[in-house]
Amino acid sequence: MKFDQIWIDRNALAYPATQFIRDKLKNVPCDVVEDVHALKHPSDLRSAKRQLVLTVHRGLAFKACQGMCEGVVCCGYYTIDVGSGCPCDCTYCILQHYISNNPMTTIYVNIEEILGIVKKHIEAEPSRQFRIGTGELSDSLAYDDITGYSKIITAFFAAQANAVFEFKTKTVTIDNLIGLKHNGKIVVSWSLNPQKIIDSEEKHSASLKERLAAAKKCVGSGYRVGFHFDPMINYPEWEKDYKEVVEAIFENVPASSIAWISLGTLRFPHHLKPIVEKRFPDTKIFCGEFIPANGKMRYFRPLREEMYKKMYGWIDNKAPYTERYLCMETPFVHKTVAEETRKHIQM
Amino acid sequence: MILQYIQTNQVNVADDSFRVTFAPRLDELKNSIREVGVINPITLRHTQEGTYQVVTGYKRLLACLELNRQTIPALIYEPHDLSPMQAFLYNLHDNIFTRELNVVEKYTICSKLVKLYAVSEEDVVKHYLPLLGEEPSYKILHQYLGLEQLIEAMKVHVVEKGAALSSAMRIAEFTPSTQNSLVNVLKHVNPSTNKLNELLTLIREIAARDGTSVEEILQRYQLLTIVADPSVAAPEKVMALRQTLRSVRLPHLTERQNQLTELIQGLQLPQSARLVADPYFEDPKLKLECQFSAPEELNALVSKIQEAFEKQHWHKIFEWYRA
Ligand code: SF4
Repeated sequence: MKFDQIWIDRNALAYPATQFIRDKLKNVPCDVVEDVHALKHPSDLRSAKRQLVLTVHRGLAFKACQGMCEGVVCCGYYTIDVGSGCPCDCTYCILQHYISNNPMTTIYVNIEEILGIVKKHIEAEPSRQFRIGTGELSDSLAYDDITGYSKIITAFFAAQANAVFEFKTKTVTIDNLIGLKHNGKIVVSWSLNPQKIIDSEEKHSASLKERLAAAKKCVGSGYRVGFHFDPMINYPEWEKDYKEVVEAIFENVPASSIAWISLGTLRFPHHLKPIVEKRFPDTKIFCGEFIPANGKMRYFRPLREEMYKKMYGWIDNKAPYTERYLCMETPFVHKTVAEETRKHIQM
Repeated sequence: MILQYIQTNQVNVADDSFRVTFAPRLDELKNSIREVGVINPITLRHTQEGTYQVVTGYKRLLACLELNRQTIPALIYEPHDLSPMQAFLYNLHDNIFTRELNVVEKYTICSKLVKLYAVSEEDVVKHYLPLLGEEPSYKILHQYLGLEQLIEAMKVHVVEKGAALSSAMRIAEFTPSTQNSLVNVLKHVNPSTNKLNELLTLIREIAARDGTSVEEILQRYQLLTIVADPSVAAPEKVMALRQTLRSVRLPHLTERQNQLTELIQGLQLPQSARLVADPYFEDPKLKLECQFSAPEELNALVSKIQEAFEKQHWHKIFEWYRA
């Protein structure tokens, strides 16, 4: 991503990451500000993404996944915030609503302090296995070419006994990862969708082929990889298209290197819809059959279940013991899908 | 400023530079003028070209013209005594403090302030929207400005039916030819704001999903036939319209809801008992509601319910619901 301007919080000046990023973006105009909060105001997302704020994270940088809401099953994921904003522009991206009052790209430069907090938490519960990721308010690797954070994060987690860290991305910014010592504690994951959906709904992200090629490269470097079909979109040819993506995974990556595959169908808070309709008037993602459930709009349950069951079936045909889970689904759906899958495996 | 009796044909009625009023109702005013004449003089602005622009009293002038009255009492401003902006503000204040403005009039005010009189959006939001009884918000200003896309017939419809800004704004998103078709359907019904917005959203989403025009949707599902039936009351027409559109927009859900209704009817529960399920089929729990007013009634009810539930049918509902 090309930036038009860098704003540096005066408190961020002392951190090595600040200098590192400035060196990477030498030609971008840069100003130091006393109060970064003064920069926060709603503005056009596309231009705001091109403004970079370097600041220090002072809040709760390590927390249980915020995507949870009442009535859905938790997959026990934790997240750390190392920044917010993303160079991709997915139609369905929740950030359009979450960070609408502060849409500039933000990178927290106190990465070592953030990891220090993580260390305290995981050491306090040595018998627990933590699954941790970034990527809640950003794409985990989108800015790695200017931050180099993947190297710091990998070195940190390689030394932890009870945690696995996941980079979740729609990019192919993996160069920093290749050749690192990771002790099997790192999973590099890609969100996947049929190329048709990538073209129409995931602007500025890597193509399906590029994502799978990057996954293959990471496997070559000893990493386990993950795949997230999230959000799955229900449209007339979804079956054929998603089946092809499942097949493409196993053509590129051996099942033994797949840490997990997750599934989640499109869901959105109702106030996201007008924002998206304004920014992407031609999108068809809202054409599906949505109903209100657990504070969000979701596909009608039988449709969701059909999508999950079929996907599990296609995965089972290729590699039945691949770890898989549903993301942010209700206990009811978990149960019906699990029952069906058991039947399938027993057959 | 002088008071004069002006020939009505000397006034340039087509010049609407300062006008706010839209689709006025003149019947009562005409009756009053017929009886006692024009009590309050209108205000005019003399132009360099010698014609007169209406500053205030547009409705009185229209009524006089319709009554074929030759003259009207008027206070006349010379051009140097009253700038166009002042004239517009006179009209605005003359209207906002004497009656409730409709959405098209509020749109006209916002649009003229921004486009004709070059008032900044910030000023309109902070100063003028509160005068119009609106929140000082850019979003609301932009919603009003978006009404520019309404065709004349739709503007009249919106005012006649007292449609809310949220509905008018949704309608303005349709093309002019679609609005033309919509007006023919909507004129037969008078839904609440929520219902109207739901109907408009359903129509728009079906057209987008099926990659077809709204006109085609109106025709394909015979929506005009549904609403034009004179033997059906307006609320029932709205209900029928909603049901038809929902069954097209949410076919799986509607089919399942119909199946559930049939299955529950098949249980033949007593009238004072009701089996209720989540209308969206998300909650696996079903609810049984009973009404009784004495212990004996409850006893009788319980045995009847038990009878109903002993049927195989009952298990079928569970299996079906979970499938
Ligand atoms: S990649 Fe993720 S964070 Fe980036 S725009 Fe898409 S959904 Fe949002």
